[in-house]
Amino acid sequence: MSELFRQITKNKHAYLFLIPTFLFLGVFCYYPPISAMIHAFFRWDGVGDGVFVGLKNFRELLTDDEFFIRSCLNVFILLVFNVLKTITVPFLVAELIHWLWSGRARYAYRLLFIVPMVAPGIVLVLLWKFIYDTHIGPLNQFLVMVGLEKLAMPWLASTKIAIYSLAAMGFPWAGGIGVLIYLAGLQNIPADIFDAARVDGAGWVRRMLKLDFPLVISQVRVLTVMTVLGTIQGFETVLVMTRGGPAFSTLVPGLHMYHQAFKYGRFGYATAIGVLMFLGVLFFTYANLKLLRSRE
Amino acid sequence: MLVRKLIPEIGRHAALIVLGFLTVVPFLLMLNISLKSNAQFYTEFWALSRPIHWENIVRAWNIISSYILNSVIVSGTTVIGVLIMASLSAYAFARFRFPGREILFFMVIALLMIPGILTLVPLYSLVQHLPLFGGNNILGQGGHGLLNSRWGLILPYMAGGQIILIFILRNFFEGIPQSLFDAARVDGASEWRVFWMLVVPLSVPILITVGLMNVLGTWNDYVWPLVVLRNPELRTLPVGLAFLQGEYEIKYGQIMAGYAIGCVPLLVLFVFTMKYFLRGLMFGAVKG
Repeated sequence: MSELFRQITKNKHAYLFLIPTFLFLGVFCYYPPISAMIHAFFRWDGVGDGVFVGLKNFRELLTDDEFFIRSCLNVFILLVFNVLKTITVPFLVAELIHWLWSGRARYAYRLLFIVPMVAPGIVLVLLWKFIYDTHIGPLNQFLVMVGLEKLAMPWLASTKIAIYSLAAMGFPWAGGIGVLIYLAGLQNIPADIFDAARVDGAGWVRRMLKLDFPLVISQVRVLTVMTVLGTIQGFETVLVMTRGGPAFSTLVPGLHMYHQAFKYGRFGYATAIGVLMFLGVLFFTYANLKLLRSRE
Repeated sequence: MLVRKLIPEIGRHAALIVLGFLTVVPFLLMLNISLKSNAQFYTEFWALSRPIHWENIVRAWNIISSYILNSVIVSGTTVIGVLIMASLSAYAFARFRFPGREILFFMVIALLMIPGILTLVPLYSLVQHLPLFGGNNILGQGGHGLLNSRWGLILPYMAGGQIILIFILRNFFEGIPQSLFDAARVDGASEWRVFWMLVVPLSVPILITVGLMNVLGTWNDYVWPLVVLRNPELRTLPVGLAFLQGEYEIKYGQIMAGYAIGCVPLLVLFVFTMKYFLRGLMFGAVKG
């Protein structure tokens, strides 16, 4: 026991250094998730203790809340599109840049595709909201100008297409961190692998799909995981673009939670949504780890 | 032979120029419209209009500048606090062998598994009912807590932001050669001195990188300031930009000028710290 005490006093600076961190973590990081796990079983308006209602929140969510079910469907649509968006065009752009002859050109293009990332995310979302506008939006104006007025649509105002407009946002999906991550991956591939492929006489499409893509598969996986986790949780874009409308056609679970808490004051119900989404994220992370391990 | 090689190269350039152009089109539109009057906006949408309405920029600046200042205060205070706390903790974890080290470190890292979506609602309630803050009594009742104040952003940002930084900085600090520490100890330097005079100076590049990563996160955050701040004067840049449309009758030139000005601070930061900025971006993305 005195040995332990000696160890503690000897390292008193370590504990001193950790005090601010754990003070902050204790209040703002440990308490909220615990509060969420508890209050998911309560009727709670955010004030005081609330009333224990058992599994009622979860039962309502899974059987009686058509908005929640709709929102899960929507987030699934976004998930499919977003994953496709991160693994296709950014990889293609990285390929195109990587095989350029001149280092200066590589640098210049890299910079060009970084520009959208340097802008605050909200600006891009607001610009796309503008682009999709039915009356003044550049997209419809352009379609009319080139004689395709038949294709001009109320992109965000139609219940049928609004969710797909959100999914397609950011066309041509080339700007973003993906390009940089794939480029870094390609640069790490030893040159002799490519020389071997050249001797083989593999064409560029073949080389790209059969050689380069498998070689950056770990980058693909990182980006996919990031995209999935981000999409499940994200509702900022939907909140700004459509507020979940028209007629809840673009509602996503995160936004449903936001509305339940901050519009209707149903904090207990909202935390139940948060807990379900947490379980979804956890399941996905676990499945991904499993998959990773079985491959290795 | 040369032609056979030249054609794919030209093809690559062509494809990149098309994709690159489409990628920046929204920003080109923004810049073009930002200098138009409403009449020009409606009649000559695509053209570069004359006369140029520079006053859009001035008017937009008058509105946006206070949001930028708010964001600078919030992100600036946060990153200073985060860097101090995270580097101290990371140093403790990296360089001391103290009882409870593993379990405490695990308790920090485990928080990376807690998604923001789980904590958003209870964190709001906590911030509102934080005992003894913002007119609250010891039970957290009676006042508004940290709601509608910058501290309601800064304190949770500081708490949550340090987690990933502790992880990254600990790895870095562990890589500092032991011989340097031994030399300092022989010189009789205290723990504080070792930290400030040895560890911090050696870590400037990584501190800039993770600092930028932290700034990018808080600077771009939209939902938390949206729910915490009621007073429009406290709005951070993203919230201010999102509410621009409602501030006056719709003047597209001014709105776009506002968006353009909103891009400037990060652009300036990027130009001055390009290498660190990109690394910070990558770190920030991968932590997800």
